[in-house]
Amino acid sequence: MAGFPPRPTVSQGEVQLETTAPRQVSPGEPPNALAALLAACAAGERPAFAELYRASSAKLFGVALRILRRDDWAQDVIQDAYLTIWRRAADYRADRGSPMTWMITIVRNRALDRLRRERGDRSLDELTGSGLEPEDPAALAQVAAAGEGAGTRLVSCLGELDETARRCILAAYCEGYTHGELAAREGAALGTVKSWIRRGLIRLKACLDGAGPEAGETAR
Amino acid sequence: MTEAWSEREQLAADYVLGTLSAGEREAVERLAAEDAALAAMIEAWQRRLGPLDAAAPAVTPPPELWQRIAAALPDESAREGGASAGNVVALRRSLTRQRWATAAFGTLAAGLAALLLLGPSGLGFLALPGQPGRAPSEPVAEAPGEEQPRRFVSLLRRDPDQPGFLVEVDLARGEIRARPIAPSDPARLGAGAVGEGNRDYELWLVDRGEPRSLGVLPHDAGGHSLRLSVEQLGRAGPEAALAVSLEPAGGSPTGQPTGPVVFSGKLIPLPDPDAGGR
Repeated sequence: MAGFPPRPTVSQGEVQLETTAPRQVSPGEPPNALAALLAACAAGERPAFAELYRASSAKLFGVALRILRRDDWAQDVIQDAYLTIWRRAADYRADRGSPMTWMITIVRNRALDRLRRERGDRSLDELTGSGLEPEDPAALAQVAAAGEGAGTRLVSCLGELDETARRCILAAYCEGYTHGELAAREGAALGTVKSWIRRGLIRLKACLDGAGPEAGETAR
Repeated sequence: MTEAWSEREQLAADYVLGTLSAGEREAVERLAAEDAALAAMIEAWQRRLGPLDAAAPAVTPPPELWQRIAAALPDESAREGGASAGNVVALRRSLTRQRWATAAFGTLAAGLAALLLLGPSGLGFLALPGQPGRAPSEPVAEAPGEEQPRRFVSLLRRDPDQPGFLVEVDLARGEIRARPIAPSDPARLGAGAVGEGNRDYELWLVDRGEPRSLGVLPHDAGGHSLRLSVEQLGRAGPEAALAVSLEPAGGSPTGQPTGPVVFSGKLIPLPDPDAGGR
């Protein structure tokens, strides 16, 4: 089987999902089209799978590349992830998040697995940041625009954290930094980095779960 | 203060954040398959941090990537039984069965005799490599094509909602790592505080009702690591479990558990990390 199969007939409207432009297909958008494609995949419809790939692969490849920084590894991970998506399409549950979030989770997990398998920690030279800079307003604006208010809230709650905690959390999530790599980058002890992150996550959770910015203090 | 920040919560957050090691990641995944609370925490963290993925720039992959994926799609007929898919499915099934076994287990009263009540878990024959009496230095499961698992994970708990320790067994490294993971401090559960000099947790391998000591768990915070000889594990049957009993300081004086069993859990084999790729 080579080349894209003919376009499927899922329904009209969602086929403008070509994802090369920077804006569209953020997580949570447009869930209905992707959910329909996933449902068709679960029923064994290969054309739907090809369409799903067309609609989501640029986003997923971007996520994998940001973590792995190596084209060949990212391609392996994407291949593996899509085969998993095909196999497990029936496991997707709409009440547990958007299809894009579900697929990104699969990609993230595989990318992190690959990264950890290849090497425990990377050297400092390899860690020249190319990911989400914590103070980059354009990147944060993109985060804020994602989801139904979830992004805005995340950005404002991240703003409540100490700068170091915010930096560490973003580097870990977006670029797959380990505690050890963060310690090297920050020039801090491992235990210190762990406790920054721990405190940051506690405050983040309290803030995101609705208690407001100050609640992080009491949740300790 | 509505909700304490448990070690389990930390584990879920660390997993989603991506800071865990490869072994820890797999352990968490296996655990989440049978620990609904942990799975829910992981999902919640994925929801919380997910918007960060929006800032990853979209990058169109090279066209040949699709060709590779399309070529690797299993045949229609082999959808459930494809090479690597089959293993995953089988493992998931066995975990599902085990969840039932665990649920049926309910609250573990006390005493290792209770462990005898555990029925077959459906995990299949779980052979820990190495015969009793074999030299510990003898390579473990090095034979090519050997399918015996070399790594196991176990969630030791009092009842389904009260995990106490996450234990990883790595036969290749000859190491057991136990980390406390509890909604409440496991040290408070026993009569007499563990870590204050008068009591200790001792880890046991229980196979066919017969406990063998694996050592006393150190009680400093953080990961507890125990060296393990192959002899200690010997050959364990499909119903092998781990248990933690509360013992006098320094461990049981008799070589058999003398105090109550406070935590126990089945050994779950982990797939070889190299076998999963391709």
